[in-house]
Amino acid sequence: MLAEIGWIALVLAFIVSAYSTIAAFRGGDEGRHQLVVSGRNGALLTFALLTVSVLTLTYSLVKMDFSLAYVADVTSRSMSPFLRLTALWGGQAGSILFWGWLMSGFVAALVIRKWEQNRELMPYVLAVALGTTVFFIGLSLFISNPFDRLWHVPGAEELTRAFFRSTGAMPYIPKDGQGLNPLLRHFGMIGHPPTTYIGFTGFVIPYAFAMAALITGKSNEDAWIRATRRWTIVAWSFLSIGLVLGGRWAYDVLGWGGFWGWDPVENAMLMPWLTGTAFLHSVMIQEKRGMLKIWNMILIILTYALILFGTFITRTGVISSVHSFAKSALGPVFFAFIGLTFIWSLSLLFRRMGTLRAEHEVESLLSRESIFLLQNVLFLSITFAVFWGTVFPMISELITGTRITVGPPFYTRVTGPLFAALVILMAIAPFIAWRKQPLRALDSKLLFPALGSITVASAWWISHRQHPDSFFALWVVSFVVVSILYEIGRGVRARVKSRGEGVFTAIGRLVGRDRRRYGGYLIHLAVIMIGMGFIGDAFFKVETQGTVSVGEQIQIEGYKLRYDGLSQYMGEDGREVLEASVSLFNGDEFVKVLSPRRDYFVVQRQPVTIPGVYSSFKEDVYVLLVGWEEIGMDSSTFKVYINPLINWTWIGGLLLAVGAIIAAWPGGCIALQRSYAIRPRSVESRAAAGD
Amino acid sequence: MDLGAVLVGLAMLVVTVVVLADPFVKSSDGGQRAYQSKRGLSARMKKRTGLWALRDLDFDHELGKVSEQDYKVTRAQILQETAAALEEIEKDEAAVEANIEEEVRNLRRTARESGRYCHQCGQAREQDDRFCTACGVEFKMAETLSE
Repeated sequence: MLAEIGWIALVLAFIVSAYSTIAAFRGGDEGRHQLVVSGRNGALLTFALLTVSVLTLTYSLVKMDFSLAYVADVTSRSMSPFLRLTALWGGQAGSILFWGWLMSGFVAALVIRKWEQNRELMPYVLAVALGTTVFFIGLSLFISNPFDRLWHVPGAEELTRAFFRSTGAMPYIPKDGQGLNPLLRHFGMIGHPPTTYIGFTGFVIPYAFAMAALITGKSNEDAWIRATRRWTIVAWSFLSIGLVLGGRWAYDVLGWGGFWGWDPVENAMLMPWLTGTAFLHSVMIQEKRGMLKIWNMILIILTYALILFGTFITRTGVISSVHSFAKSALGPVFFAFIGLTFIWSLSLLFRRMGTLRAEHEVESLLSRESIFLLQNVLFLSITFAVFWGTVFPMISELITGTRITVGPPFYTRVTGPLFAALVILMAIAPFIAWRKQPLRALDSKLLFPALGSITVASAWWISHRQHPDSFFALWVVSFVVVSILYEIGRGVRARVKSRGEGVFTAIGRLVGRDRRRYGGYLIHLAVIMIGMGFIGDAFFKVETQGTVSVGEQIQIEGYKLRYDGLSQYMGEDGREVLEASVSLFNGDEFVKVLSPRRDYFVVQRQPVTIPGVYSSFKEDVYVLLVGWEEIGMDSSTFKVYINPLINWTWIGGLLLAVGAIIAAWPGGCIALQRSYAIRPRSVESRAAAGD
Repeated sequence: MDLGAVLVGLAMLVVTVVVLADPFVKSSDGGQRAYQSKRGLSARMKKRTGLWALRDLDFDHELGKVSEQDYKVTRAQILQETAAALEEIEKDEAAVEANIEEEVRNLRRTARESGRYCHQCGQAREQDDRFCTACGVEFKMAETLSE
């Protein structure tokens, strides 16, 4: 019965959201309040109905109701309740329903929080955001329905999936399910997909505001920018955390010693992150100087299109990759939706292009505005390079019939210098004033960070002379760190000097009065920490491979790994486990026993290599079991990696979340309003006249 | 389909229809004007932008990021723009005040003309009252209400 209730709720949610899209749009267009309010109620109802759908599906998954095809696909009796819960987004049908539910949640939150503000834009915001929700609910209902059942139709070779029973069909309920893809049976599954989806769906809100501003002709005002500032920070932060968690999952599960492999689906997540990051920075120029209005529109349209493209890649299997587990008939519909929304958005933009004139010109090449403009160009260049590398295999297959894959060297060679330029801008930007920065005044300010960073990088280089090419990378990141710390230090000093505050009070007030700026600096530091993981991977990674008998050792850097033996047992969720025992020594000092494994999932006939890892702040010792003797098991082959600075990436992810909370924390403007009292000229003239 | 599911589905449908139809049942025109362009909205935005710009400029100046000359020129410019925005807001608020006063005057006039209220203090009166229950003024015969 529950599955039927879930399906009915899904049908109602589709009808209600489609109605609400039209009602909100027409209500706004014709100034009919009742129609708009009815659309708003519909948005809240859509969320409630989809919640019913999601809850019924979750219950079916946890209770293993194998009468549902989706449940039989992604769960099995051997899976833990935790994994059965994560199966909600582990397969195609469930993840699309989950996407739609999150989207409707964002729309409901928007309606509750922002209804009384931006009322002019709100009907159209609702229409655009709900329009996207309708599309995803439609996919769930008509193409990839999680409530479909399995039917045995006489004469048919395969089981049929449908919600309703056709003539002569007999229901088929398997005794056990297939179970979740083995690669997805990981604790990180509770974090990576939901955070990524929240990031994806969250970006639809600023897009909807942008489109509403274009529809109403209010695009020249920056009400839409201000209304979406916090939403954008939240969406961006979740997407960033999703990227970091995805890297962690790859590091723990995929067993190739790294965390970023320029996989098409990683790229699909990275591209909206890049344009979203550019947008997040670029809107500041519109807020403060009334400039880059067209840029901001383009950036948010691109971000939205790339989010849909990312979902398209992940969920349609159009590009083969480790993530593209699900292949289905979604492709053409998705492709058409991306194309139509992209063309519609651009046509709206072109129609309003004349109204999007900048209020000021760039006064100097050396100004905060021009730095941000350059940064936009760099972000878009990286996005284009990544996009090209991602779609190239598809294009080559279409034209030549042969799929030519673009490997990591292409990406690192093309995007590396662009990323380096971006990081340098990150270091310089805080010292550049709005409008115009005199060059002479800049020299003295940059002197300390430049000298400080050169000293740090040189000290590093002296002790790591075997990697001379790492000097530049380390100089760039230390330039940013020293610049940010110096900038914060200058702010604190100024407060201490002018207001007589204590150092800690000054730090608290400095951050409190401009959370966005200082939260942003913390995020910059976090990005640099994440970048340190990439630097470690690019310049200092060491690997070796060796076959050893029990009692023998492998040596790498200062470490010794002694092979102690191999055991074989049945795991808890249908996996045959081969687990090696390896004692790790740092020099002659025992550190810990590592247990690299090879799990073989019998039903799926799929092996998964789980590393044994020793983690420290400095580096990881990452051991993979890659071969063994079937008989006797007294000799095995191991691949060992030393991954320097990799834990900085995960810590950077945590720091990023803290920075995002500071930047998005509400109430930053209260102090601002108290700080200044400006009176209109009429009042001033009256005061002067002695009134 | 399971009968229980059909009944739950019907219940959801009824709730859906009621919630969607609710705004049409409650006849209200309160929001009709809300979707029209609001005067002064842009000015308020400009005021906030100006305050932000001032705050940043002052702090940048305090940190020595802006030269003294640029600071003076830019600050004057921002002050001028923000003051203009405030003037616009003031005009807008004055217009709103005037509208409210006009509405109140109209209501008072309507009340007086209808004869349902005391001509002196505005207290509501019954049809056959000879004196006001609040101020005690005597109602003349001509003021007696007739249906």
